[in-house]
Amino acid sequence: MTQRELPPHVTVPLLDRLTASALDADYQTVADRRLAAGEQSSRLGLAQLMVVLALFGLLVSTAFAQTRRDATVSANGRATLISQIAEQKAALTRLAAQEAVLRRSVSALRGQDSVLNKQGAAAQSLLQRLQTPSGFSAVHGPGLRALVTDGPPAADKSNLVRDSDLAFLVNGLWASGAEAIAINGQRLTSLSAIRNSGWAIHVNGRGLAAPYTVEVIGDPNQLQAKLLETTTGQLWFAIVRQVGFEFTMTSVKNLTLPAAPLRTPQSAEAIAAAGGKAQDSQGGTK
Amino acid sequence: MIAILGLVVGVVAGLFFAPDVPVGLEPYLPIAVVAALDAVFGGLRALLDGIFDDKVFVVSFISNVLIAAAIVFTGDKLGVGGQLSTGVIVVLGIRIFSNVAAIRRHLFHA
Repeated sequence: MTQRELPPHVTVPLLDRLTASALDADYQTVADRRLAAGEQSSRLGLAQLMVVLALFGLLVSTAFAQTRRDATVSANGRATLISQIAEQKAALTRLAAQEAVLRRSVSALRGQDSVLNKQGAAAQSLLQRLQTPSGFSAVHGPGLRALVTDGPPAADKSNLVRDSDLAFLVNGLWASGAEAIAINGQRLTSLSAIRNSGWAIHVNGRGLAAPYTVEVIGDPNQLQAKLLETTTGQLWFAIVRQVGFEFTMTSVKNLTLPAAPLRTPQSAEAIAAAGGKAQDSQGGTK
Repeated sequence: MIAILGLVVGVVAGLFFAPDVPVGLEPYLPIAVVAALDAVFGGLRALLDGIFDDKVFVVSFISNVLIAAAIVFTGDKLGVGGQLSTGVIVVLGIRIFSNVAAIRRHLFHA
């Protein structure tokens, strides 16, 4: 097998090829052709030359101007970005300061909130402690039911039960350890009054008629026993004997007494009291 | 030489009128300038070698500019614009160096 001579564009390295062919081969071939035709090897067509050189000058100067303009634009862009960064950093610092202030106020408010919560809870428990003995909430428990009826009818109606009589009974019951009292379904509170209006007895502003059912919540045995010992209780029993009322008392295992109608005080104002100075019920609870 | 007058006119016109390059062609302007430089130095070397031909010069100038711009444009569309432009600049740079070296030899050894 004969070794074929490899063409130069295969054997010559790239850089050598580039430097060797730096000048367009066209120049040489055209010059050779002209020499063969007997003319000068070099030809200068002035008009075309000038046009092309003018074009070249235009190109270079345009590129130069363009680059300068771009440099200005990009420099301005950079300056704008830098100023934006500085602005945002300043804003960030301000916001961080605000955040610190707000955090402090949040923790202060949280402290207040917990204090107020405690106060609220205290008020709530005070309310619960008060509403039973004050008569402003319904209650149930063991107690007594007493029935009082007018005495034998008399011409001058002197044997009817009067407000003062009932007052003796009620006061005697309070003194014996009653925790809640209701007459004919009307709950007695610290604002309740038992008054006569003509021949009718009014409690809580409601008229009641005989027979009067007095329901008492408390320890039934203790109530009955102590009633006989108290002064008012003894007065009551004396009146019963004297006037001839019918009076019976029965223990009830579970009595339910309603709440008294609410009356908003017009003149009385509460003194801020620490809890516990409420009307604590006397006597035993179950 | 009177031909240099044309160059001066072109440069002055460019600086004076400051034409706005269309935005689409803007990135190809530098490569076109380098290609034009290569053609100009090639022509200068041919002149000093005594084988200058104006037709060849004009054709080489126009074609260099157009081909270089076209190569980089195609490269941009294909996604290798940066690499192709690097290749074109390398080749044109080497050619410019060789032609300037030859011109130097003519100027300082003639």
